[in-house]
Amino acid sequence: MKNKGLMLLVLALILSPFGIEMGLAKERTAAEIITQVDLTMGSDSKTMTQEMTLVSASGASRTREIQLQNRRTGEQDAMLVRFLAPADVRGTGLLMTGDDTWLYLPALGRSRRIAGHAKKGDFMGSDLSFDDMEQLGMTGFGSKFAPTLLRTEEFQGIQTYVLELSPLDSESDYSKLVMWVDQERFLPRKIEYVDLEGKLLKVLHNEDIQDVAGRWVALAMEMENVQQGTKTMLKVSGVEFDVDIADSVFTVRSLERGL
Amino acid sequence: MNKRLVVSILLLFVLSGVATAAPITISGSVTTDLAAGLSEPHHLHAGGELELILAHFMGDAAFRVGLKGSYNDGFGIELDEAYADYYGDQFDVRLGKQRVSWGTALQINPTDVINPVNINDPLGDKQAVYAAVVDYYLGNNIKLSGVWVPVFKPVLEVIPHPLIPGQVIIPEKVEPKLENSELGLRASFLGIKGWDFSVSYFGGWEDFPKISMVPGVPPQIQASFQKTQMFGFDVATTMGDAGLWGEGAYFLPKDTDSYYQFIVGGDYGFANGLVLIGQYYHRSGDDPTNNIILAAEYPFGLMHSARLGAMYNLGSHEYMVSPEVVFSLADSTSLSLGVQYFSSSPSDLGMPAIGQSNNIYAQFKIGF
Repeated sequence: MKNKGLMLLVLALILSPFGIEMGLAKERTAAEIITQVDLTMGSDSKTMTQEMTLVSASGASRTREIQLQNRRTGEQDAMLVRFLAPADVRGTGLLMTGDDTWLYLPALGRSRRIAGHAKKGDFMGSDLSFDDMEQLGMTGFGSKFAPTLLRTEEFQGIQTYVLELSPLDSESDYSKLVMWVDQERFLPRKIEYVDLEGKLLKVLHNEDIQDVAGRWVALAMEMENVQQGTKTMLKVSGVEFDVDIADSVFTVRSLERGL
Repeated sequence: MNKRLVVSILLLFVLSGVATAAPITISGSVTTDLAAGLSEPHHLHAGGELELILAHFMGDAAFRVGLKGSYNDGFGIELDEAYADYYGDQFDVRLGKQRVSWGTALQINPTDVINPVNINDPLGDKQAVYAAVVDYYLGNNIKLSGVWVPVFKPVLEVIPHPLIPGQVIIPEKVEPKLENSELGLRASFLGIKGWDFSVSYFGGWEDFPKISMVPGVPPQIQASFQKTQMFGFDVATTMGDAGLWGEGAYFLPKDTDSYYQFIVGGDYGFANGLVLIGQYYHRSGDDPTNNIILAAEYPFGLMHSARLGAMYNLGSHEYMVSPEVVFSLADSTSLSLGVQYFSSSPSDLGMPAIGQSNNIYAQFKIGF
């Protein structure tokens, strides 16, 4: 009876719609992968100091040093960004709590509430948008995209999963992302951002991957806008995860107090 | 300001930093500019400015001293801002020469009445005043501010004679007495269901003196400042990708008719980085002012930007335009090229300006 039962089970599996079963298996795997990626990259709170270098199409470069503090409580995200250098932007700050965003300019002497376009646009003049920054540093991708596993392949000498991420938000700036995920560390090694017309817009490379307090972290990132020929390089000089950041940090008072 | 005093203050701060081995940050900028008049005889103007800021943070306390040295017709140095901060659990205190910035609109703020305007640059930084400011916080969203300005500072110490060109009038001085000091109060509510708003009150002096004619042979012109009160309100919110704001103030001068000002505006950003700003400004009175203000900024080449500012008076049909291109040459180093053009006198736009002229300019600035 046992053998008969086993044979029936095998028969049922063979006779089931082959494509659908395989598809489900792939989707589950893709979901697991992106969940693992989010666990590796995301954190409930983080402080980070990084050097941001903007490179124009002509090759000219400008370097900025910024400090980020972010925290996630339930679905409420909060981020405080301060410019430490160079002189012409030093003291500039940006506070985002939920849907509220304020910009502090030292020359103005007060904070200004700013609109959503500032959040959708480039992050401080770089090739990354605020959404890119949030996804890479805090919120992750799983809640924003539906993943599909395209294939596995070797990329720069390491085994990777290649995922296609379709945006769940109809107002996304991208039609899809293609992500190469390190199979061992569950970190994206490369992400291609495809615009709404289906053309490749930006390419992100994660480099200098290090173990920081038991967590794999890319200490260097390069985002290239292939349509404009510009690129932004981010170099992390200090990072702490799951730190206790007080509520008072994510306030306009804190923003205006400055450095 | 006395140059020796300024140098002494600088030395005091630098030496105190050395003595305590505490880090004092030094920053600032060097600006040099060249302007040429657009009309005959195309006067040239060359000048420059050094801004030096010393700042020090000590956890719950801080100080900041800003000096400005300028060379135009001659060389001058002045203490721009100099204040000390103390940060308590629920309150902040700032004492010293400072700017207090109120309002939500851009550049024109009817409720921003603590500091006198800079008559040479009415849309630029206002003049710093000696003041004591206390901000008290009720939670993270409500701020109550009190400002006390012990000594009134007028926009101008002397004003041009309205009838005799080349002559000036010295307004009657406001004595530095307690009863002549100025008081400002403001309650701000931030992030209340997507809105920021505040109500404000000011009891002090009008920025500009009242001109009156004393009968006689010949008749005498007198200028004196008058007390005033201001009741203000400002608000800001966002709607989709647009930012919206409004600000209004009702003034009750002691000896003349009351009047009000308000400004409403918004901005919108496009995916290519272009930001458009529009504002409407109204000032009531016998000769009301109604201005449309437009501005645009477009970043290009990742680090440069093009800007356009324009103002149009709906009554006089006079206008002002000021296009500018800012090239980033290196980190904290920029070259600005621009034009400032008024179709008539700035006063026809309701702007309190003296010496404004149509010109083309270049400005080179290095920050450190």
